[in-house]
Parts: sequence; C-alpha cells; structure tokens
Amino acid sequence: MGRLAGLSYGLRRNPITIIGLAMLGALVAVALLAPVLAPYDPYATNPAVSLRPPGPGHLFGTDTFGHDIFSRVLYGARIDLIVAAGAVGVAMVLGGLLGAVAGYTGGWLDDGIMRVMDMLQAFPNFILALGIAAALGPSLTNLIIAIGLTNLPIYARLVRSRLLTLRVSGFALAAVSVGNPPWRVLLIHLLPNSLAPVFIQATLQSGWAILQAAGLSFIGLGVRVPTPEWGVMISMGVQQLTSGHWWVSFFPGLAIMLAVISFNLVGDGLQDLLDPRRR
Amino acid sequence: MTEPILQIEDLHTGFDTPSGTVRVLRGLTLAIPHGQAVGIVGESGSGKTVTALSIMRLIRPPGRIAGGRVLFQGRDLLALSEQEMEGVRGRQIAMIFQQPRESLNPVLSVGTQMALVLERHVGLMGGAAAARSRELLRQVELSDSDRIVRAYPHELSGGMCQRVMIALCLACNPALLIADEATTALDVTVQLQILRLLRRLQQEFGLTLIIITHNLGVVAELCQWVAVMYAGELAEFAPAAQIFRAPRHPYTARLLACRPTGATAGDLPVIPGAVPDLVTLPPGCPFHPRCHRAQAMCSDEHPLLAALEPDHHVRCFFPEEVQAWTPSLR
Repeated sequence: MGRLAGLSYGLRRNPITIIGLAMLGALVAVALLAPVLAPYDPYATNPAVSLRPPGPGHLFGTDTFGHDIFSRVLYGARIDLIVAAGAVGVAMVLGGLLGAVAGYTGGWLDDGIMRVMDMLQAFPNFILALGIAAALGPSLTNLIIAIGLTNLPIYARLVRSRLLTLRVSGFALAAVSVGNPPWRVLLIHLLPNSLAPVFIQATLQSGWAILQAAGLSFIGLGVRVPTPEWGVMISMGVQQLTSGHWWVSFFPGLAIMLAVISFNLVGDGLQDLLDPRRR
Repeated sequence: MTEPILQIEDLHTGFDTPSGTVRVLRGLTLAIPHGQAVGIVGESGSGKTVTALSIMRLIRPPGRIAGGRVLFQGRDLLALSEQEMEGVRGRQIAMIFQQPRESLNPVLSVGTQMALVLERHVGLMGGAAAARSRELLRQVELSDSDRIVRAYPHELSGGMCQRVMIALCLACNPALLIADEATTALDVTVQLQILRLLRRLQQEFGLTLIIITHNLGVVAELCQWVAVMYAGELAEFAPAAQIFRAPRHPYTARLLACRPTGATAGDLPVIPGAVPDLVTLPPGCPFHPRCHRAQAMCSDEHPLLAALEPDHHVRCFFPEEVQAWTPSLR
C-alpha cells in the first residue's frame, strides 16, 4: 500500500477530519488570498459609513471608524495564522530540542532543564504569556515569543518522554553498535521517531495559540489597535455590544471559533492517523 | 588453536544497585581464535550478553567495566577513547541482536539505513551506496533486493530483518561479528537458515563469530569452539566436538543432559536449584550448591581454570571422568 493510498484509506474512515482539513485549507487560502478577496482596504476608514449593519455593501457591516469588517476578518486570518505558526514553531523547535537533550543525556542536565520547564508550567498559561508580553512590549514578534515560550514545556515533556523509551530501544543500541556517535544517534535515529506526537500536539496547540494571541491583543498586549487582528477587532466592538451593534465583535469572534475548531479537528484526525493503536 | 583475534583477560563488569554491586562478570578470561565460530552458552544471568556488551563497550550506567583487558588484534579496547571506540564499532567488530525488528529504525527505509552506514564508514554516496546495498542484500540471500531497499522494517518478516541487520554489519567488512541470541526470536526453520547463512559468511569472508545463545543446538550447528559460562566466569572452554563428546565440567555435563533429544520420552532432566544471586555469591565454587560431584573443599576454595588437555580448559576440582563411550547427543 503506497503512502497516499494509506492516507486516503485513513481519511475515508474519518470524515470529520476531512471537514477539519477543508476548513483549515479554506482558512489558509483566505489568508493567502486576502488582498484579492477583500473588497476594501482593511485600514481604510470612512466616517460616512460608520457602524453599518451587515448588508450588501458591507457583508459583515462596519465598525465605528467605518472599517469594512469583512475585509478585516479576511486579513485577520493572515496575522492570526502567522502568530499561531510562529509561536508553535518556536515552542516546537526550542521545546523539542530541550526535551531531546534532557531525555537523551539524563542526569543533572535533564533535572536542570525539566525543573525550568516545571517553573514555566507552574504559571497559568495565559498569565505567563501576559507577563512575558507585558515585559517585551506589544508587537507581533513579541506576541509570537510570548506564546511560544509559554507553550514550550509541553513539547519538551513530550519529546523527553519519548526519548526516555527510545534511548534504550533496540535500534538505538544497534545504531551505537555500528559506530555512530551519540549526536548522530539522537538526530538521525531518535528524534525522527519522536516527531509524530509532536506534530499532533502542534496542530492541536495552534488553535490554542490563536486563542492566546487574540486574548492578548484583546487586552492590549498583542498587536495594536488598527491592525486587523481578530482579538483587537473584538475589543474594538466591545463598547458597541450594549448599544446593539453586535456585528463588530461577532464576526471576528466567529472567525476565531472556526479557526480553533478546524485546528482541533485536524489535530484529532492526525492523532488517529499517526497512532495506529487508536484507529 | 589458531592465533586469537580477541583476548578477554580478567574482565570485571558490575552493575551498581541499591543493594550492592552486582558483579555480573567476575574475572572472565577467554580467547577467541581467529576465523572460528565460538559459542558462548550458559543459563540466563550467567553473563553472556554482558560479555558481548563489554567487548563493544556498550555497558551503560549503572553498569560499569571495573577492570580487565579486552585485546582486539593486540589493542586494548578498554583503553581506547570513546571516539576511537566509535571507529572500532561496526568497522571492526559488529553485533546483531535478539530482536531483529527492533534493531532497525522504524521510520527509515532499509535502503536509507544501509546508505547511512555505507556513507559513514565506507564513504560510498548516492548510486554507489545503493548498488553496494543491493549487493550486500544479495549476499545475505535476500533475492528481491530492489523491493527490500524501499521497504520499511515493519513490512519485513523477522527473519528478513535479521538478514538486513547482518547485511548492515557486513557493510563495513568487520573482522569479528557478535551474534547475541540472534536466532532466538525466530521460528525454527528461519533459525536454521540464518545459522547456515552465518556459517557461509564465516567461511567466505574469514569472519570470526561469537555466537551467544542458550540453545545448544545452535552451537552444535555452527560453532567450532564452546565457552560455557556460569555466574560470570568461564566454566569450561574447548572445541565443540570435544565438549559434546566428553564434557568435563559437571555443569556442562548436566546442561547437555537437559537437551531434549528425539529419542527420550517423559520428563527432561533438570539441574536442581537456580543461578546464584550475584550479590551474595556462595563461597568457593559458585556451582557447588547445585553440583552432584561437590565435596567439602568445593564450598571453601575457588577453583581455577585448568587445562586438562592443551585445548580443554575446565574450572573444577573434580572434573567428570572421560567415559570410554558416550551416546551421541546430536
């Protein structure tokens, strides 16, 4: 059975994953094609059309400044996906390497690394991200760093636990016995074997990263106000909620929800596909 | 006896545990003759695998090699740096293990794994490595080499995986191949095929083999020499034919008597008792509590390895008599 055949077999048995993949694909397409799809410039203000309800001219309505919310939601996909990918990438690479070193070497290095991870995990996730973001100052890069650092211990633990079993495995011993130095055993043989759960976790975590990014931006610690970011947009509509202008916050909120759901569906699906015992 | 390729001298390997150091190897001395197949036999816990891992210097903490020398072609492996040892492993001494499938990396295809070894040790790249891989696979009698190089370990049977492992070991043309229970996990017909393959490779390439097994049938099939281990020491060492015909150590004699033969019906004989606890070894000969020939001095004094004949070494005060006629055990 070829790889593609195996994949399509696994997917056919799991239609929910197909839905998730389709949603995620649409999300990525929207992010890439935002300049083509958006009818308006997301930064263009127009006081004449402020707080218009959803309708033919402005599909999702407009906010106080007359921004077209539909265009901004489309552009928001770009920023939120960049933050999610960046933060998860930072967490996965740094956390994975730290966990690999900890699990493979053991001893004091393992203890040292894992106690730092414990310290990071002892804080509630969002509070820690909030602290780091506040310390670094609000910007897109700092948002990625803050969310990346808070999610780092998950990958460190995951990779470490895999390596604890892999380092005493038969093929690790066999790899050493044909003359491989330790770093080659770790990089060529052990790390690739611990990647499946890491990728599953990364997909599931991307949804959380979007939530965290939106949350931090909502309270003003992420990207700044006119930027078309979903969290910022929700916060811009909060004052209007009581006066009945629900659409300002509703559509970015819906976008966050759909993005998180699509990542979770794909993550669950990957878990089923990559872990044959759960099929 | 031909010139030894490997000489183990007074090797001590122990494992530090909370209840004391478990001395798995207690002064093992053994010479492996060049180009021959030597079987190391003994019960579980007698130190067979630890011997192999000590030769390869693959003992991990809490285990450690506490003393002795392992002379390979005149060089003491225990004195080499870790980097120098990496050059010995695979290139000069190779090893295959009990679980063939687990010895291969599950996420890399067979071809990739062979290419990695060839690239590192022999300097073959790309097409040259691929061609050599196929050639090696044919040498281990895997005829469908085009399919096998693309296959992943889970797509192969246990016997095929073991052949791939042997091919990987042959890649660097080592002088010594250690097979640690290499056929134990395979079914009997495949066992025989692998043993015949090893014998052919030994003859064709002048390979020296160390066959670690608890299966005396494997030894009879393949080995020219037999080393019987008991409680981390050599109990008896002699040419295989001689051991099977006239074992001199009481332990070897009992071990041979426990072999199932086609002719015997009913219960197999067993050696009463168990391998002694290596933390609290009995004084004197470690086998004396189980020995049918033991006398008073056996519990006080530790016997030394003595040459009863030029090639026949036995560690016993009261070795078995050579009988005029012994029924064939094969």
